[in-house]
Amino acid sequence: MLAKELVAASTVPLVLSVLAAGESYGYALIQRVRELSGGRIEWSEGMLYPVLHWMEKEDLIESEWKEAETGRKRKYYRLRKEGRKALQAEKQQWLTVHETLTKLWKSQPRLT
Amino acid sequence: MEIPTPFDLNDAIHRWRENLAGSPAFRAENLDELEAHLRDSVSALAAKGLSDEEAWWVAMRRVGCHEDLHQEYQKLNRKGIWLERAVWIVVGSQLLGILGYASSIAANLTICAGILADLRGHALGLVGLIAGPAFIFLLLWRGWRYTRVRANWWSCFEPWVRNHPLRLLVGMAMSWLLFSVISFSTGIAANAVTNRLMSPIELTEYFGLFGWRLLSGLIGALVVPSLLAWLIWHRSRKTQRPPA
Repeated sequence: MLAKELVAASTVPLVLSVLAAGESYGYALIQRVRELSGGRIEWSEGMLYPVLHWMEKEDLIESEWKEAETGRKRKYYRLRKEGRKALQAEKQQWLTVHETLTKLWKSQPRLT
Repeated sequence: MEIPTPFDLNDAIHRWRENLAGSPAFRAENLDELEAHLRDSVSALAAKGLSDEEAWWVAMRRVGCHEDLHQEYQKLNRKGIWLERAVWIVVGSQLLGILGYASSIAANLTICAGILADLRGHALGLVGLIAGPAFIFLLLWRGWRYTRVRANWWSCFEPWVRNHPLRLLVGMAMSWLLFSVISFSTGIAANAVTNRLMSPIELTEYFGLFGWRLLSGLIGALVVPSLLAWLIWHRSRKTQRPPA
């Protein structure tokens, strides 16, 4: 399981990345992230929606109520132009952290 | 022995939703979305072999507890919460004004009826003094009875206020205006009738006792808001109870 702070910090880039592949709704977003992380990233489900609404206010994403095949109504989210830009910026930042940590951990002598 | 009632998913979702709706942090659309999420989650868990009831409890736990959801949505809808509070304050003050005018109308009409029934002096003053507060008491008693019979009145009324605040405010303002005009007119009529039909001595007696109306008005101004505040506090405590 990941630390709570790391899960919170990675929510926006994760949502942006999943939505970059196409529109989706809250429950499906949670399932997708759970599946990709092998269950290691566990969002508190109800807490995702305020984040989605905040992202909508920031014009990163937009939403629309649609009827699913089951006849049930769902709110679908999709990426906006601003969201794509934000995703690029997030990608750069997370890759920088990733590369730095990888270099640091590779250069350390093995103790065992 | 008590017979266990079968689990009703729709009823459970309805009660869960009603519980959240008690908090101003949630808009109707937020609740629709959370409900859709719950239903998706329940369906997925049921497909894995859980009973409806088990799936419901797991799904509800995963969505999060009332307090956590409230806190997160409160951050998001802060502006809306303050606007809603402002609406309630304005509605409360308008309601108080309307009740005050209704009390005056009742008193003025009773005085007119009293003088036509040959009441004069002290007797008429006493009738005028009692009529207003008695009318308010009757109104509150009927209101209380109504809330006892229709236990869900608050859950019907509150979302309506939340969805149509402008309609409510305009309606209240119009009612306030109407009541003030009627109160003013009946006041003129009552004064005209008393001045015309009573002797100076009877008028002195009448005004002497009727002057107590100021005191009863003051008591009313304290009692009515206190009762309303208690009623709102009592209802919000009931509706904001966290889900079991």
